[in-house]
Amino acid sequence: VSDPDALERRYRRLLAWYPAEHRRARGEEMIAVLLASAGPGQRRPYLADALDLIKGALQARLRRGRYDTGDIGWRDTFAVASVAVPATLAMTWIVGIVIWAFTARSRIPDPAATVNAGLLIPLIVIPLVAMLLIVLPPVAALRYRRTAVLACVIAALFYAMFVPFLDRESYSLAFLLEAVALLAGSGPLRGMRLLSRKDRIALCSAALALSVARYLLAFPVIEQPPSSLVIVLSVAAAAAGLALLQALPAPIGRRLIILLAIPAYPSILWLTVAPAGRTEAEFIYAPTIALACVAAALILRSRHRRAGTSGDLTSTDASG
Amino acid sequence: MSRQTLREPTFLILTALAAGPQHGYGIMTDVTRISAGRVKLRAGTLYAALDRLSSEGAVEVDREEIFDGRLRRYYTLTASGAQVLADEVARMQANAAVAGKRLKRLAAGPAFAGGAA
Repeated sequence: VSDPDALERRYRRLLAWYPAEHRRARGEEMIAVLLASAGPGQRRPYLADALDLIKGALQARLRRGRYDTGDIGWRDTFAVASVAVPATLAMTWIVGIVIWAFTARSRIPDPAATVNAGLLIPLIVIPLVAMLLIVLPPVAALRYRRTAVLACVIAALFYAMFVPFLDRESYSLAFLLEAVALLAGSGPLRGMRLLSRKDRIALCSAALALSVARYLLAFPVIEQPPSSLVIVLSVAAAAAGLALLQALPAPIGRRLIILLAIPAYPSILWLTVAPAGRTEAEFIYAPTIALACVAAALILRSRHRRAGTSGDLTSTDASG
Repeated sequence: MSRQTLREPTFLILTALAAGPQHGYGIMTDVTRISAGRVKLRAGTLYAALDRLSSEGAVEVDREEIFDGRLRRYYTLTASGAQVLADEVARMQANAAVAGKRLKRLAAGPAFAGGAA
């Protein structure tokens, strides 16, 4: 029985001889080249190819130079963002659903009226479509990137028009960000491969922490102002999320924070024009505002550093 | 520009890229074609050469694309790389011209005996 992945697995095992930064910069294209040059039905690397790879790996370990990936730092960041944005949205949605389930009873004006068809649309249909729209683009993007971009634009419009979240414009912007990430990046597949298992856990944990922070603040506000304990917990969760994002490979983590902060900016704008008495928005949007502030600080810091040391942003592209 | 003589795989990679940007597998097949099947580059050798050439500024990444779910990175010759190749071609042509002249003289007969060009 032929296993089409067996050859790729064996090539990857051979590529493990290369330094990690080389694998990160060149690994995927080397796998593509090796598989393209393999014979039909080939299951094992030829000895000559294996020895050639080991020789190349040893040379790479001796050189330990930088690897030109075409200054694709931002392309790689967009690739990771095309994974990170839907992951964050999905996490936010899941956390929201869990909290919604716990508080559903208080949201239905008359529990006896749950069979009322009129409630089905706001309570079930819209949330389900909203979830579907979060899942659809990243799944479609694995093969049909243009369809995924279109799905993102539709999702942005759907959220802007039909979803009754307070921060729906942030959701819409997040979908548009995903569309841009899909267009400008090297694809979610590449994004996934750039992240080690540890990085993926860090990314999901960051998304979870930011979502929890958002809901910790948002939900008590609907009933009553958040207690200082909730504020402290929320800020701690948001800080943990940001720290986890920073743990991603440099400078992807830093750039990802800058990208993920984009949906937060309309909230800040909205705050400045918010009518008096709507101060709850300050709490609802606190984690995203924190994200935006950290992003602004990072941009300023990198500009300062670039002015001082002629550019660190791209020089670490292939590192750690 | 003073530099060492290019090794044949490196020369052939630069020659392949002189036709325009190519991805790794494209370079491998083109090198086989240019050398009439005599040189078959393997991935380890190709990427060792590309690493070296890109660190020397002779080649650079042109663009990337995803083909069949796999990453393809296209490399292109820089102006400096084109100059390196041109220098190497000039050197090889000069050597070939000398070799050609001597072979003609050799074919012409007795004058060659013991002499140097």
